[in-house]
Amino acid sequence: MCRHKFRATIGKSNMIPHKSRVLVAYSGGAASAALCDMLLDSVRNPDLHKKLNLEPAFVFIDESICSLNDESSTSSVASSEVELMHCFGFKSFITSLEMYFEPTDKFYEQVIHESQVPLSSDYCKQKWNFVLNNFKSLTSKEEYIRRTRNLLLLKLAEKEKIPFVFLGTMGSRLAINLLTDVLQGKGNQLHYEVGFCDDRHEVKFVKPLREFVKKEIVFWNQMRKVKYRETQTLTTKRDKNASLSKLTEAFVTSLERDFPATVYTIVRTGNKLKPLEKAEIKCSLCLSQIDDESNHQYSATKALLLSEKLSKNVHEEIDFHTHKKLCYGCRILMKDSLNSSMEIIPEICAKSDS
Amino acid sequence: MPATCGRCVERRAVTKRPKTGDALCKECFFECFELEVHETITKCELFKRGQKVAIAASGGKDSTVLAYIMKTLNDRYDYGLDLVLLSIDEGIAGYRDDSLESVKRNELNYGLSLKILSYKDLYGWSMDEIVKKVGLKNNCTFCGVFRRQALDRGAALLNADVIVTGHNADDIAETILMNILRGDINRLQRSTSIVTGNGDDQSTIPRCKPFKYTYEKEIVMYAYFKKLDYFSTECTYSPNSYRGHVRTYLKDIESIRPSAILDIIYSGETLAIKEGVKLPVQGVCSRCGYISSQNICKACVMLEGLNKGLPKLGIGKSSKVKIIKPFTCRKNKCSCEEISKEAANTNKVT
Repeated sequence: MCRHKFRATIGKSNMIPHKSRVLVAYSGGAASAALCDMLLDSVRNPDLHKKLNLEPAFVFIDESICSLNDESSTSSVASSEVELMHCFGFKSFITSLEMYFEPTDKFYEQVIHESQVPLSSDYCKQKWNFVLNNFKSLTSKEEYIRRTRNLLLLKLAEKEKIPFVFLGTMGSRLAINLLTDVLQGKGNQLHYEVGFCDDRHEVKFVKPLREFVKKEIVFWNQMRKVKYRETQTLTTKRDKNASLSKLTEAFVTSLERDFPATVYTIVRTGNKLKPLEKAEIKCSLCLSQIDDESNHQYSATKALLLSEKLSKNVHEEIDFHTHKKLCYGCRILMKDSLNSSMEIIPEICAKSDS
Repeated sequence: MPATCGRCVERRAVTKRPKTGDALCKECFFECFELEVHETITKCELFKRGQKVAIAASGGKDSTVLAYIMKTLNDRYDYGLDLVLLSIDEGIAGYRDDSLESVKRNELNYGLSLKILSYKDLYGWSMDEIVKKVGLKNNCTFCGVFRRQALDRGAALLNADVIVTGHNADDIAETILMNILRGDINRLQRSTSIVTGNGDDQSTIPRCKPFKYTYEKEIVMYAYFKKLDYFSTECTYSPNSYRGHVRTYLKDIESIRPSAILDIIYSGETLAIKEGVKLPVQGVCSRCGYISSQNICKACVMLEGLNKGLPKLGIGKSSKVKIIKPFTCRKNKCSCEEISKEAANTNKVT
C-alpha cells in the first residue's frame, strides 16, 4: 500500500518525466530514510510495470553546527549516513549547512569513500554563527535554518544540473509547517510549502511523502528494517513553548489524538490554495513572490506599522518594513535580529543574488 | 526605578503594549488605542455619514469598550452616526441576566438607546430550555446560529444600516486557525474581511469589526484604565470545545511572539483560493428569508429539530436533512399545513 501511494503521488502529478535525474535530500531522519528506501525500492523493482524510471542522486547536509554543544559527535553522526549513502550505489554528495557561506564553487563534495567527513571551513563556520546568533528567538533561528537549507539544496542541484529535488517532508510535518507559516505571516506562500511541487525556482522541489502520516512512515521503517536516527534540532530538549514550530508540533500532535483527521484536513486546506499572481519581485530569502502591499486598502501590515509609529512617536518609516527585497514573513524574521540587522540583510541578499 | 513612557518621555509608563512591546503611560496608551481604531474605521470606510449603527452589546469587555469608543470617536471626529445598542438575551440564568444589567448601566452612562431581543421571543426557546433537551455537548452550536440571526433581526427592527461587533484581533486569528484546521475554505476567505454581508443583493445588513487589528489584551487594559463597567464571567455552558484548544494554542503563540496575531491575520488576508474549488453559494432560506448557504437555513433546521423533539437534527450536516419541507402556506413562521398533514398521517396510522 505504501509503495502504491508513493508511486501514485509521483505519478498523478504528471510532472516528472521518465529518466529524470532527481536529487534526494537525506538527513538521516525517519522520513528521509523512508524516502530513500521507497525510492530505491521502486527504482530497483524488477517488475518493469512497477519500476520507477528515475535516476537518483543523494545528498546529505550535516547540520551539527546547529547543535553546538558537543563537537566530538559531529563526525560520528555524519559517518553512518555517509556510509549508508555510499552503499546505495548511486552518486551522492555531502556538505554541511555552514557551507552556504562558501564564496567559491567548492561548497560540496561527491562521496567517494565511506568514511568521508562533511566539508567545512572556519570562515563559513564563523559567518554562520554570526548570522544565527543574531536572531533573538529560536523561532527565527529555526526558520532561518529551514530557509538556508533549501537555498543550499537549490544551489547544489543547480550546480549539478539536476532538475528535481526530492524532500522527505511527510504529511504530518507539512501540516505543522503550514500552521507555522501562517503564524509567521507567510499566508500567500502556503501553496509552495504544502503543494506537491514547489516551483518558485528553476529546480523543482518535490514532496513525494506528502500524503503519508508519521505512523505510516514509522511502520514502513520498522517492517523494512530501515535504519534511521532521531535527528536533533535546536529545540529537541526544550519545552513546547521554545519556538512556534515546536508549539505547533505539540498542538497538532495532541489534536491528532482526539481528532485523527487533523493532519489530512490541514493538508487538504493547503491544497486548495494558490500562489499570488503577480510575480514581479522575489524575496531574497525564501524566493517567493512579494506581495505588492500598496494596493491593499488597509491591512495588518499597515495596522502594525501605525501602532509602532504611534507608540514610538516616530514619523519616518522603520527600515525593515520598507525593505523591498524581503517578503512580509522574512521581514518579521529580520525584525527579530539584534541591532545589527542592517548588516545581516545585505549578507543574506548578496548571497542569494549571486 | 519605574520606566518612563517611550512616547512622551515624561510621564511614568504604566503598561507595556502587547502589540509592540513599547512602554507607555496611561494617556499615551489611550491616545494610541483610540487613534488606531479611528484609523481602521476611516481607512476601511466602515461607515457613511448619517448611518444608523447598531452596536452588538453583550456587556462583556469587547462590546463595552466598543460602545465607549464608538461614542467617543463619533463625538470627537464627528462621524455623524446614530448609535444604538443592541443586545440579545439568550436566556442563560446566572450569565446573561447579569451581563445585561451592565449593558443597561452603559445605556444610562453613554446615553445610547438600547434594544434587547430574547431567544424566547424570537424562537420560543431559551438557551436554558435548549440545554435541557440537547445536553451540554454541542449547545454552543445552537446559541451561535441563533445569535447570528437574532442580531440581524434586531438590527432590522431598529432600522439600522450597519452592525458593529466587538470581535478583536485575537478572535479573528483564532477563527483563521480554526478554519484551516477544519478545512473550511469558504469561511477562511470570509473570516478575514472587516465588513461582511455587504453583498450586492442588499438582503442582509452589513457587519463590521472595528477591532479587527486590536489586541484583546489592549482592550482589557483600556477597559481597566478607563474603569469601564463590564461583566466578565465565562458562559456557564461554555465547555472545552474545539475552539478552546485553538484558544489555548493562540495564547501560547502570543506568549512566544506577540506580533504573531497580526501575522496570522496578514496570512489570512493574503491567502488566495484556487479557482475551481467549490464554494457554497449564499442564498436565502426558503423558509424564513434570512441569508443561508443551504436551501433551508441552519436556524430553521435546528428549530424544527427542537420543536419535533429531535434536537440532534441541527448538529449534523444541514444538506443531509431532508425531513423539513419549506413552508408553503404563508410567509410567516406558521406550520399549520405541516402540522395538519402530520396529524392526518398519524390519524391514518391509528
